[in-house]
Amino acid sequence: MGKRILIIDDSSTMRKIVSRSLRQAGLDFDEILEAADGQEALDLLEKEKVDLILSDINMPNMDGMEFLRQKKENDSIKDIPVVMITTEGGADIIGEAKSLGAAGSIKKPFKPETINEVLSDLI
Amino acid sequence: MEELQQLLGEKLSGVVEETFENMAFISTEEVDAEQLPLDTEPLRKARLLVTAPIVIEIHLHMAEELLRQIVETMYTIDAEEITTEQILDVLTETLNTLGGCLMTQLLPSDQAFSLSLPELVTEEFPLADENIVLSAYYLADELPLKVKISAAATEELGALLKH
Repeated sequence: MGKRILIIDDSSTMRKIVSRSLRQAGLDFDEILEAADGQEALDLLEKEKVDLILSDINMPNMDGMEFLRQKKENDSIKDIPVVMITTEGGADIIGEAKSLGAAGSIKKPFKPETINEVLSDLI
Repeated sequence: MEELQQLLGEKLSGVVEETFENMAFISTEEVDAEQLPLDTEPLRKARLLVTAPIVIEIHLHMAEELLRQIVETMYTIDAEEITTEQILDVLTETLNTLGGCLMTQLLPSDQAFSLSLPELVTEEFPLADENIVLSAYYLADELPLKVKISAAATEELGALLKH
């Protein structure tokens, strides 16, 4: 099976922007999956294999931090790398995400080059 | 107050330009209020609260036609397929990105900040005039967009801008 990337964001617009940037970044992947919040992502990960996750932090229902907490406790998905896409670029937020297992972060608004720079070693 | 408005205006213009270029490949031009064709273009409005380290309210008003153009390009769909939900999602996500980018510009790099989720505004601008620190006007593809920033604690905002 080809490589798959999961985008988690409550905004369909941001999911489109991330998808577009992933395709423009020239990364090696075959398919993009989408979820609107952390819970939807956890449900999807029970059924689908994913190689990399890009997640927003600030979302209704289940936010990105809670998603990281729950993913960390689940042996079948805990090793999938997660990169946070966020408006809140403060060191404490990024530090908290990394302590919960996030592999990196990208701040909005971003260019495809930034996506490539952060993700190229992860996929 | 005038110095505060000038500093904030300079930061905001850079943020508006970066946000629209990166999100929608649209260039923006700052203009005077009277240059905006507001009478002919219906506007969609949203607001966002910065809740820490100080409370700031940011309003974004965008021409519906501009939002429709962005949706059409972003979702790769025809004009007749565009939904109101997509239009409003572009508006709120643009405001979210713009608000985060502005706070990153205003604050020291190690300073955290918190934003509310953006919400739509259907009534007239509800804040008292004395709280409005800045009103800035732009044209994007010849269509109007407007940003209003209000803060009760203008001295704290001024201190942030001088960091």
